Amino acid sequence: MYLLINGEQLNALKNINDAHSSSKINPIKSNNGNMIVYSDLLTDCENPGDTWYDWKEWLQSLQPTNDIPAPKPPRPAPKPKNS
Amino acid sequence: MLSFKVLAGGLKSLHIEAIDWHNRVVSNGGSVSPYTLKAVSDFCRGIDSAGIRDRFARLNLFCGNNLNSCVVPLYRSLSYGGTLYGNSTDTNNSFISSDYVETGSGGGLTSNSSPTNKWISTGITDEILFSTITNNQDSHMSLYMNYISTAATTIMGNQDECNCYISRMLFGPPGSNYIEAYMLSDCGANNSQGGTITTSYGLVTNSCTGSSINYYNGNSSLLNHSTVLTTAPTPGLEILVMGYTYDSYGGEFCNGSGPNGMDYTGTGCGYSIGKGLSSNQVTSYNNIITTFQKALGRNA
Repeated sequence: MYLLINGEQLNALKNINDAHSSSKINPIKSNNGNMIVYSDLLTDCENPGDTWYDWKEWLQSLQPTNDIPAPKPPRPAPKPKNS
Repeated sequence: MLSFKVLAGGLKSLHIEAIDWHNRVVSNGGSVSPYTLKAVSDFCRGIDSAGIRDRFARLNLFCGNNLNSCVVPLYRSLSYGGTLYGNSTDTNNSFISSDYVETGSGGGLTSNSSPTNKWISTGITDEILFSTITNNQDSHMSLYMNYISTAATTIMGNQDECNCYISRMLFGPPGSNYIEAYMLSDCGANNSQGGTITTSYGLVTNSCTGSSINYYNGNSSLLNHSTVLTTAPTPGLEILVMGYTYDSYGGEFCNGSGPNGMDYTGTGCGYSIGKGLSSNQVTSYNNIITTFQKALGRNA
């Protein structure tokens, strides 16, 4: 299951991520053009010492969504070198 | 500081780099069992004995008792006490604690990155690797993997279509005839395909020596090609592990804003980045790291 991120929450995530050099949560673009994260992060944020504890409030503010990750862009074939 | 006697022999029996790594693990909120510490020490001695320590600028065996331990690299320099490269710890991108299990057949750090966007950042960019650590004709990257997907997967590296260069390694499912191996390769380089991975676990190494790139699975070179190499970009994209940085030519992403962490589905059991490895050196490295993986009960 995925969690939906709105614009304000995206800005908040950037701030939390910027405050942590060794851990980052990276949102994924969804099939509906939204930004989402995988919900398993919620299982590791509840208690002090949990990996994503500093993101707890932010994670728990997100709403579940039926969105899923957008299809990956096709892996591009090497292009001719520009002369 | 160590607070226990490590199996037989005590502290004096441990390699200095294993002790240093242990102390950094503890500083990062992790811990290491005496058994693992001895296995790490044995790994270090094996690398030294094989005369290949100077090939590795950064290496992480993904071990220790928890995720905090797992993200602490064993090597961050080409020699003990030498110039340090990359982040002090690997940056965790979206892994949770239960994604890491140290021992057993599934031991390592597991990503089902296709839906979950998980990867490891090293802090080493193409510029750092190809201009500071080494040059683009004397370089390698490797991952000891335990692969669980049936789809083609990118193992590590980056792809910058905006500036037209690629440094990454990729393979198709075991049994397929699809491998790609680039090391600061021009976009117009030979799109190396061919070679077949026959096992779902083991060391895969992408090594460039001279103008020749070899893709090794274990001790065997599965793909060899020459490549058109370009000058290292500034600052260049970061080399990711269990994912790759992707800037899209003509697309919506450039200058490092591309989607990351794509493709890798499986368990990583350690990686390395550094100078080129010859065929004999890959064999030595493969034997040593395989011994380590077996010590932890991992698929090897």
